[in-house]
Amino acid sequence: MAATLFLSVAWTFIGWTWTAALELIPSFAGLGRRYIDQAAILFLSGVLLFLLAVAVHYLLLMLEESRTVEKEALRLQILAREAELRALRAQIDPHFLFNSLNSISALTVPDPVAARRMCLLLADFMRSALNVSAKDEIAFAEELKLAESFLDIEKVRFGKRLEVDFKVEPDCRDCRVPPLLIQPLVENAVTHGIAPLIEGGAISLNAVRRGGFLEITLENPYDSEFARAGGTGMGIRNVRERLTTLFENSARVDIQKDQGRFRVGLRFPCVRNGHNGAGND
Amino acid sequence: MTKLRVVIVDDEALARSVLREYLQEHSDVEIVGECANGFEAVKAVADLHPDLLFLDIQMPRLDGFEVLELIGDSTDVIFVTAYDQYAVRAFEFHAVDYLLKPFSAERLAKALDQAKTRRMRQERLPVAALGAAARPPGAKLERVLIRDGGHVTVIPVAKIDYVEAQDDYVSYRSEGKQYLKQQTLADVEASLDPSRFVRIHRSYILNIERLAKLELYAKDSHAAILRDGTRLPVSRTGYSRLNALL
Repeated sequence: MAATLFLSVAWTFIGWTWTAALELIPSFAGLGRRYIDQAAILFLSGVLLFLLAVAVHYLLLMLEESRTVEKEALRLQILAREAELRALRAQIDPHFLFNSLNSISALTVPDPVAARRMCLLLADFMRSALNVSAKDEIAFAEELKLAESFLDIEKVRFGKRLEVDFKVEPDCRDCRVPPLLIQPLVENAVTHGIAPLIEGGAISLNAVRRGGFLEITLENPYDSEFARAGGTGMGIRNVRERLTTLFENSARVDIQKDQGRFRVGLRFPCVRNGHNGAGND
Repeated sequence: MTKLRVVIVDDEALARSVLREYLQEHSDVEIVGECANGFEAVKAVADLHPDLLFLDIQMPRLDGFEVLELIGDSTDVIFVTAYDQYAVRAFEFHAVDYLLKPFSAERLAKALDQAKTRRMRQERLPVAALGAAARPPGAKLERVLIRDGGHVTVIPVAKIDYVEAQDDYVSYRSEGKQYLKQQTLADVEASLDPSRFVRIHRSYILNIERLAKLELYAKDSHAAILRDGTRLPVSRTGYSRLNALL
């Protein structure tokens, strides 16, 4: 308020000075008198102009602020999603952990050597899982090793009910893949495929490189007759989301479910270390 | 002194072996059977009438709660699980004993003592409440289990045509057959998905996918004609429920 008053007075003063200056020129003589008449109008228009300027200023400030808030919200959303994905990738299924510990406990008395081997397998698996989840990408061979060590542990638990059949062509092994890409799918194959089957079955994985693409097929039997709802589809959704983020339209995820067999097919460009310079190990 | 006759139910051989090892130390316990899945467990209870069941929750075909639903409260149960937050919450709430894998010999001994105390006091398990409380919230029934002696029939809910109340039983109609189960129609109604099954009458719940048409057959009352020609009565409230859904 004080500012408004001050600026309006100043405005009037400038008007008055300007008039006084013009008075010095002969043809403008008599202007001063007219100015005195109109001083009130001049003062008022000064007030209005200032208030208008203030209003516009605040409006612009608010617009700017809302845009920043929006941008910040979006940025936070992306960060949260990223963090969520990372957490999911690093997550160890509590069933897996406690059941493995129970297997160790069971083996301790009758077969101490097997119990120790199981401890070592579990430690190796956990260490590799923690290692790779901190990276942006790893070689497919490393991802495979992780899945194999996971299945080695599950084999102790399930005994003859779990068989594993991996067929991987050598030229796939150095394709770069996001870490823990197939691990959740392998876990699902055990939890929703093999575990609910009385006789169990085989988990098979095939990987080939075709036309610059890495093609991975994971297959497992499931109980089609007695199947309960099974998974929530989270695993597949995550894989699809991650591949789309990385490769956009050139990645494909297919699911087939027929006659008691569940099949997931992944296809995405095989980028090798050095070609994109993004390798970090 | 008579021994406590127990049956061990777990699909993992190693999980069964650790229980066997611990139980060997208890001279008053006799292991009369071991089962690797829920069907075997139901059969073992019917054939062997054990005093106590060690019952794993995650198993092929029938899980621990489904086994419990089928065997009722005739046998005492100690639940065993690696990790199951909903189940554990239900156990705590109903003061039911359970073992978390891996467990110690001492923890098992404590559970056994409690089971013996319950046995002396002739306490029974709150079977129905446990089954309902142990499922994740909002989860609807996916299949109906019918037991006939040691034999179990599983009916996926999509294959149910309708359910009819018959005295103390309900009768499930599916693929031209009927299956009796000791249950109330209100319990059935609460367990089924309300967007697929409607209580059309005091005595009937209908799978709306089976409905062919509705006929007015007297003032204020309707009949539901099913795809196979079956006619079921529809009460006035049943009619408005159906209309709300269709």
